[in-house]
Amino acid sequence: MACLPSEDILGSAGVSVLLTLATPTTLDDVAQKTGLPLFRVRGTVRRLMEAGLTHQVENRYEITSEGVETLEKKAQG
Amino acid sequence: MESKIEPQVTEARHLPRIGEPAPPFEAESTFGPIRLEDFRESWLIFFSHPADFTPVCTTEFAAFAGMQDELKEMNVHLMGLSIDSVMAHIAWVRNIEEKFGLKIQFPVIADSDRKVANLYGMIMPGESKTETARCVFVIDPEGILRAVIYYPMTTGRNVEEILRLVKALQTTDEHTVSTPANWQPGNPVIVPPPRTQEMAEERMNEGYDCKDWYFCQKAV
Repeated sequence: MACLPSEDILGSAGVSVLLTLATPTTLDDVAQKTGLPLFRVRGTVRRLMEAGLTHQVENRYEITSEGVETLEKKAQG
Repeated sequence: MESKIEPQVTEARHLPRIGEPAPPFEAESTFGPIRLEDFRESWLIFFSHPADFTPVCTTEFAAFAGMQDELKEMNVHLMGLSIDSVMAHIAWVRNIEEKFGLKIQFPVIADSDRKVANLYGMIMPGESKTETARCVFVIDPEGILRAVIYYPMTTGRNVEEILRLVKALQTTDEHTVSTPANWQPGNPVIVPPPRTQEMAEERMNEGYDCKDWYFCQKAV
């Protein structure tokens, strides 16, 4: 276990996934748009959901207002 | 004198077997928390190695990295595992990139508590009670374990053989055939033997290349 907590879940994969979720999108479409393999999209979306940055609408996923805020903060550095 | 005999308790563990669903798990990896189910709809070569920053394992990672593009074309992913930490894995894959010019594009599980290693029978206590052996599990897109290979710590794997194995399995699934010894893609495949006497009699006239009724090959 690391001696410091790691709170930043938004690596480049997380950012590119979040950016595709402005409208409800399937995981297959996220994979196609980001160029990430589907297994990475599944894991990334799961972590984003656990962090409250995305939510599921039937078989699609969409960014939450918290997700938008996080992206804005990230962009500001 | 009364002798006291202590009962010996042996833990019976059901290890994964070919043809059964691969046991599900969630683990920390160099790509973050990862679940086996994340790989469904793809083939997976799930392999363990004894330790990071060791020479034989480094040659294996370099060899696996060298076939990443071909595997991607085949809808096959790689996933490694050892008992080292995520930090150690990160340092090692960065070192491989720096020293060998090969980017490791697959996740490596940090199985510090040996949860996954024990689940898959990756530890060979006769060889090492702590480190994982060189195990390979080929898992199909439905999550079924299709092949298992074990190598000892001293012997690096032949990744070309693992690639050949996956190609053979994919050919089997696509054409409902078997593959003979030393088969390579493009070679003839084995037609499933007839199940009845009537089918055996017909088999020799079905246009296959037959040595006898039970041994027929065809091109695919």
